[in-house]
Amino acid sequence: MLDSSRQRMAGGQDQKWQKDAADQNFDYMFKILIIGNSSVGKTSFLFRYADDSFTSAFVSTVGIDFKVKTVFRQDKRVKLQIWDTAGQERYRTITTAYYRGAMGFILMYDVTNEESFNSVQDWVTQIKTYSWDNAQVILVGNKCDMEDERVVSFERGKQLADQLGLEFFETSAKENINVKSVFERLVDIICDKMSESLDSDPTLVNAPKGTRLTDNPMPTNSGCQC
Amino acid sequence: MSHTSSPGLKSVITRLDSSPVRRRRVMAPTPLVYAMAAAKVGRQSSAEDDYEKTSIAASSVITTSTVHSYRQPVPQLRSPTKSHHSASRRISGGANSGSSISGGTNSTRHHRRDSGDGNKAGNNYHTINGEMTAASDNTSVSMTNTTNPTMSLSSSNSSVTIGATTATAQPKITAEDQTSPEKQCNRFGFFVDSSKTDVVPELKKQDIDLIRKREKKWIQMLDKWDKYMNNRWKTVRDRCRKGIPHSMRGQAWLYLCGGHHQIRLHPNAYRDLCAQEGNEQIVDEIRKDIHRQFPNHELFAQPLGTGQTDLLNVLKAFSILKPDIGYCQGQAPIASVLLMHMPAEQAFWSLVAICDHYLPGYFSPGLEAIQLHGDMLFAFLKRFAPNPHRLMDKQKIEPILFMTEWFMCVFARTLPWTSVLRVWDMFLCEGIKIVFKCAIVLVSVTLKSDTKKTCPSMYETLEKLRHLSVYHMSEPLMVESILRCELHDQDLQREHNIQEKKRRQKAVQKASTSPKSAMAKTNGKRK
Repeated sequence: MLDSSRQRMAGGQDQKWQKDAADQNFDYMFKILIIGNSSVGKTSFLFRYADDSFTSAFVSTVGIDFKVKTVFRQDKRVKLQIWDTAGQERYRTITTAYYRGAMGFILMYDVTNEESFNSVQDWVTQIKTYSWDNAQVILVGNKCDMEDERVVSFERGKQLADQLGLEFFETSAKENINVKSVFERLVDIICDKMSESLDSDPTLVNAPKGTRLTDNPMPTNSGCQC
Repeated sequence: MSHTSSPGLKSVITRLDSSPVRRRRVMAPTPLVYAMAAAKVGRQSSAEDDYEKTSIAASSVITTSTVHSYRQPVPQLRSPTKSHHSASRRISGGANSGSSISGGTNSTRHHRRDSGDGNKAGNNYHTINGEMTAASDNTSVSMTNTTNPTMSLSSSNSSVTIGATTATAQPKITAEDQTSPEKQCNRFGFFVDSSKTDVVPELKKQDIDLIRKREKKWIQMLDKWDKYMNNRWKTVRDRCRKGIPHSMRGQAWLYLCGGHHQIRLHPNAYRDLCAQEGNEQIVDEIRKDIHRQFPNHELFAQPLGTGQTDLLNVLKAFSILKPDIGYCQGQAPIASVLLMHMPAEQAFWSLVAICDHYLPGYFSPGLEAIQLHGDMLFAFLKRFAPNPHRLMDKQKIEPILFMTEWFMCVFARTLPWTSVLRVWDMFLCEGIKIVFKCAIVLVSVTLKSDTKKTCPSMYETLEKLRHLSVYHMSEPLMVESILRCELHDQDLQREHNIQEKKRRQKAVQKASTSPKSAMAKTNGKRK
């Protein structure tokens, strides 16, 4: 069961770009994972984005959780299925099973915590090992509102991101800085990647039946034009 | 540590220490709790079923007879060797010890609000207290500490003083020294959030009468604990199923999991462990979590207050005692629930017992046990909830997606608080079986036959499992459903063997198809 499920969740491989027909009112569904060390603010980040709320009274995530949010990007309704994972290392045995379907990763560290920054490379390795090759990754330095406690400068973050070939943002879930931008950018680069893939592999275009049930006309060639 | 250094506990330890160790409750090193249980054959009878369905259903209705014969005892919680220990522990000594400790908890725990609104708390307390005094004839209730809302009741027939912990006597307490002074706590110490539907009902007069009766029974039972565990285990189990009176809960939990024996055997261990530095990295991980456990509970609300400090110490001590486990994030909620009911040392030993015998392997690196239990749960769902099982199977929902937090935290973050306590009462008596039953019940009531329409894909279904119906989770209904669920220890053992074998075979298959193991396989598939 585990295996078949992984197969099925291996979203990017085929028709999983688009979700089941039964899910109404969206053109695409993207599965996104938020990963990073424990306590960097993954859950807060997700809550800020999905519910526009912040509380310092969050509980630590045990296991894996997700939220769904639909956004409009370039005339497309994109349903985001955002998975929030436990950051502690031993939970990776559980969470890495869900990497494979993901089209995007938000790799988060805490600008006030050096160790979480040092782990970024390790997380990138995790993504490379367990996820789909075309998965898009954005590096995010969270808690940028806490200037007094900052130990990782913007420049260091940017430098590492460049080195790893990732996009980079500094954010604050608390002050609502750049949270939306991260998701929008991620959706954009996933769309870009998707159209590339579809261009290079025409079988993907014809694969799914009833992939969308919206009133909009079916995109004729590649998926997203953004 | 405030608790360990309290004179009460010291004297207790001395007392306990000086008394000869009559019997050590031997916990066999079984891989899983139910493994031992399988050796014993459970009995079934329809009459018992009827009892389960009726008397427990109305959990607020008192049943005078206490000895009912249910089916499966969980012998791992009893002495596996039937060695009777001659005289039970000194009654007053043993029970008094508990009371001193409980008293200690309260004085520490409520110290913060004493300076603030002690009067108000006290007044509320007195009101209930008065009712309770009136309700019981042969019990005199008195305040042991005028500033603390700590109750001590002297039961004439056992000369036991029990420091009642928060619940029975504190309907509303204003936490003056909290960051938001206007915040009020319910009787379990949670800040009252009027927007939440999870409202703790006030105790009624008849509830209090019932609690009084049960308290007396528990006082007697804790006095002769080992006798009860050896000879009248079903009585213990039945009383746990009916709900442990909240004033006795901490001590009862400690006794149920055998923590009191550990304290007696290792009187200085906790203090010594606390004094140690611990692994820096692990302590760091713990530090990140201590403010993220029940932030809406008065004990844990204050940054580095009593609760958070105790939590840090308990988890750190555990990581030193069990370096192979270290610290797992799932342990923090468990330890927090324990700390709400008992002083740190007791919570520590209870945590050790839970990690060793109730949830073995749950927190070890690799998290194998929880995954195995996920598979087991799925198999049980097929039997007990075929429709939801079919739906989940069709939608490829892995149990790990919804049961990890349920099992790892023993529903502490899932159910309404009154239900959590009842589930824990039963869990600490009967073991992991209760957790399985509870999960089966939750899935069955959540994914009804119409779910197929409302949940076209796994996301809706999972969403549903994350937002459970408060009605179905309410205390009486939940407990009734759990007791109705016909899952036995031998079922657990059997399914454990089956699923373990399956996992082993899978691992072997994986290894044989790809000599470079799973990772290589993954890499291969990516291409």
